[in-house]
Amino acid sequence: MSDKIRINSIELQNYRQYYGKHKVELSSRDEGFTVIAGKNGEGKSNLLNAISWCLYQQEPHGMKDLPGHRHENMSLPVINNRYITELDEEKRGNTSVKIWIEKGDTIYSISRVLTVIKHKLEFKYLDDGKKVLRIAQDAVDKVPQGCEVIPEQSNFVIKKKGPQDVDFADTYKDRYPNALMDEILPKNLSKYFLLDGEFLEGFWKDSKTIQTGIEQISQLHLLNSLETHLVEMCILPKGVDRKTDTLTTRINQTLWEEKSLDEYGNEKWSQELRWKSDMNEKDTYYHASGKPLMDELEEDISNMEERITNISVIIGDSNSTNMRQLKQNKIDTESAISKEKENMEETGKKYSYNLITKSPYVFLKDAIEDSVCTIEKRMAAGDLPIRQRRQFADDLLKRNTCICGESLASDTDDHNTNKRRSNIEGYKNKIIGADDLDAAVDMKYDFNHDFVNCYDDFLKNNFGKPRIQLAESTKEYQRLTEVLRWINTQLKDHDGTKTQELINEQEYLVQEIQKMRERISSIKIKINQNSNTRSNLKIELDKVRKKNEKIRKLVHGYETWTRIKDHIHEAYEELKKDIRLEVQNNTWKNFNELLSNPSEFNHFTIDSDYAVYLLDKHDINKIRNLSAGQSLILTLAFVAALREPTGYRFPLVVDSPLGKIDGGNRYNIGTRLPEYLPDEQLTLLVTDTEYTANLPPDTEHPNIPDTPVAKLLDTKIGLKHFMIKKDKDGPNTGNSNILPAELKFDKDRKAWLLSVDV
Amino acid sequence: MYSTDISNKIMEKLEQIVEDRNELNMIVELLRTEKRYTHESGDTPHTVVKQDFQLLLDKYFKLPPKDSDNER
Repeated sequence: MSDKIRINSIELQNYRQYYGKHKVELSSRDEGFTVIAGKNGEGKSNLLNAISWCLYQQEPHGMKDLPGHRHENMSLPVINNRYITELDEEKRGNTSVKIWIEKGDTIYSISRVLTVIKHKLEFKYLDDGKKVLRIAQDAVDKVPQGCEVIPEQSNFVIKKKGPQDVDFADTYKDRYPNALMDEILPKNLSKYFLLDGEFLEGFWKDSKTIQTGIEQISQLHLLNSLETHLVEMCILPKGVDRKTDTLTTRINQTLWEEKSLDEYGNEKWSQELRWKSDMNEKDTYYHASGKPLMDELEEDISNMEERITNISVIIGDSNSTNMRQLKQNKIDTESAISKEKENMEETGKKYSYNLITKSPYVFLKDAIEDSVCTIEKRMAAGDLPIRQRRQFADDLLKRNTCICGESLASDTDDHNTNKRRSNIEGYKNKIIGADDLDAAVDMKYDFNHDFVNCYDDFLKNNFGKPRIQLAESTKEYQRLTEVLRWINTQLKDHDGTKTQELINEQEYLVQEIQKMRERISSIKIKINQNSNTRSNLKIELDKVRKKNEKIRKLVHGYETWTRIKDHIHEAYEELKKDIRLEVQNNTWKNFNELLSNPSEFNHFTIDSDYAVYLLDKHDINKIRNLSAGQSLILTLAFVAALREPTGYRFPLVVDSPLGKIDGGNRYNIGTRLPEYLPDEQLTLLVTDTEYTANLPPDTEHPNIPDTPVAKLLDTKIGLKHFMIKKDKDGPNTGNSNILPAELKFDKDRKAWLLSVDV
Repeated sequence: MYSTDISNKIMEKLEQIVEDRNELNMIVELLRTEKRYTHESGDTPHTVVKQDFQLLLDKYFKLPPKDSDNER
């Protein structure tokens, strides 16, 4: 397990808004968390900057100068304003930060000092007459314009004290300070233990961040760089001895041929196209030689054999019931066509007949109706029908009985009978007119019955229906003709032409397979020959090498480095995967435990290229769209996950861990944070509101108690409190102090507060 | 187990993979050397790497005398 690392204390002197000397002793993890609270702008983030500046001469937290920005004073000077103002001109002054770090049983005292000589401060005058202190833009550490940095008196010093040492000793003679610092707490890992809760959005946007975290903290980068160096060691230089070079080349040539490679190690191809069963497939080529060519030939033989089998099946089908069925279908179809043709002709004739004979009725419809009307009028007037009336009278006289039943007998003495008979005879004699007009009456009945009273039916029956019948019959005839055409085509295909083509193809494939098998045999013989040649050449090479001491040494080194390189490569590849997966799974587990609403997310993956995916239930990657709170929780989860496979125990300083987090998540963090990173020192830089104010109500978590995060932590772990207080009056106005504090319940305000010890 | 500043994870994996004790010892020292390189500013020149590695090779896998080759 790696040595535990903790920051014992931090001392600032005239650093930024800290005028004079300020020292903070941080608690160890066994003692609990250190909590440093302050309002916005009072210096919390600058404590984080102080640590970073001391260890690495960088201040990544908060506002940065943009390169080429035209406005001045984007950054404040590192050196405290009051201090530099009070310093006399041409006098030297300095700012410093000192940190004591304990690693294992060794304590390191790390200090960075910036010394300046103050000449005359320069100001920019604004339009309203106010003056603004200019800041030197070109210095690494920002100082007021008019101050000159004294490099020889600005230094970065690390001293150490081992368990047996009485006092701290300089380390400069053993190691350069920056190199030693990198051993204690590497600079490129600082983003994993100095967390700024307000600026974590970029953490997950770059896969390099994740790769660095995993590979560097787990030291995989050592394996990677070692492998790179070993590759360089594995090169056997040419030109040392011509004979060994020649032998080596000949050995390599046998290998190249066997693997179908060129002298540069690239795959070698022939110009010969490979056989393909589907003409639509893309063209491919055979390898030039050796085992790859042999494998390709074997594969193609297998495909060809499959094609031969398929052809046999097709041919078999064409000689079976399919043929008989087709012939029967042809007979049936021809018969149906014949019948349909007769039907078509008949309906055609009928339709034509009707068109000729019945069309005049349609054209003369009005005239016919007028005629009918005229005849009906004359009938109503009693004029018609003449023949029928005469016939009626004759019938009565013949029957000698009237329709009323009275007798009409002739030759009788009854006067009335004679008179009735005479009336009827007289009626009959009065009927005058041509009989042939009665034909008009018949015609009138016919017209009414067949035409006038059923005109629509007349049209339908004489024109509509016959036309439809003709069209249907014609369509059916055409369909049957098409069917017959298709049947004839099928019969033609099965008449032997296509079968012959398939048989020809089969024969061709059989011949090709035979040729390929012969080629494979030749290749196998060649491979065996090459193997024997290679063995003999190696024996000869060994003899030559043994004779030449220099070569012997080179070969010995080459063989040893090759073995070592292979081990390193294997270890690197396996560990890369193992550790990545372990970090991935632990991050996901931790994230779900810390987040108040884990159901929003479905899945978390760190891919083999270190791209990170956090999927919601719709499989959308939300990693770049996390809220600040979610981002912080995921980062904490990741940082906690990193320690497991790597065993790396680094101190964690988190600025504003709760600032952008909602009630539910604050509650989760307050209750679960003490369980995380159990062996690591944890320091929190908080505002009073996020720390001592009661948890805000959360409708999704109605059971959240009415208590601050401070009390949630207090119940589970020891807490050491400090408060940053900015002076509001007096000569120290605007400067901050770090003071020990205590968490107390204020009865008047009915709230928990941090109060400074008086 | 080694009291090294190489991580346990790497050590366990190497012990699984490397059977030869000498090779394992040499690998550990190589990794320590690499660690030293990473803490130094700039790239380590190839000549320095080669020299350091050769020293380790001589330490752990000294070239046997010529006569003993015949036993191989």
